[in-house]
Amino acid sequence: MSLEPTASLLDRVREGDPRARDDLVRRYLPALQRWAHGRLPLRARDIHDTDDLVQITFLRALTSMEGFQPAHKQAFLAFLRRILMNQIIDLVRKAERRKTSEFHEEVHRAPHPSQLECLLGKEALARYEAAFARLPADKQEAVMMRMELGFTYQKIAMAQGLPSDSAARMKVARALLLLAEVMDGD
Amino acid sequence: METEQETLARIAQAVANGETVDWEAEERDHAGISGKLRRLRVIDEVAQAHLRPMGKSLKDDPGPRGGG
Repeated sequence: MSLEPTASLLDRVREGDPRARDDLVRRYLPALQRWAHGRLPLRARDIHDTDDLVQITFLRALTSMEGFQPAHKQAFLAFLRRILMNQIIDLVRKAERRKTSEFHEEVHRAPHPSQLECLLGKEALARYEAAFARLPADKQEAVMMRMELGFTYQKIAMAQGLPSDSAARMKVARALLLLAEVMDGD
Repeated sequence: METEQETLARIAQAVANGETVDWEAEERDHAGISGKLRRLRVIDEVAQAHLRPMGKSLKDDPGPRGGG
């Protein structure tokens, strides 16, 4: 595993270095694929393989590097998460529309929940997502890496270019406090 | 005596480290910040819901001892 910060790898991808691209794929793709499995309802998985969806999204994002804003480069994973979330929402809508047209008796049935919605409840997940969206991108990325992907502090420090594991630990804890601060309701 | 900010920081770090938090006791002992504690609890549950199906636990990497 490369010890290079993600922003630096992205610079090298932009310069056309295929090894930097491979490093980024190895660093994030498997974790993002596992993440997406929990987010996509079973019904939507029928119309698109989750792993393919994530891989295509990831590679497209890398290919369109020229259009990247510096803010995206500093929080590439948070940027990818936003794109993936939008794609998942689109897929769920498509799956619901298809179900509606094929099986008229199911028109009024509630959408199938994702694995995460089953575990947490739709309302709690929605509160979390709304608060998450209010965080600055670098804090979103710290929360995602630690709390949603289970990255070690060492890996977070490396990816975000932080000076130490302790700095990553502090950054995650502060991001969680801010997340709790901006979350609606109790 | 811990201030409310110190309590929140301690519990946020415990959540980040994957440590078990006695939420009922913390909310009872710190009623003035119970709303924020409940939100941290939601975040804790969100993390567990993400990581458990992956077979991961934050306890495996509690971070540098006493660091930061």
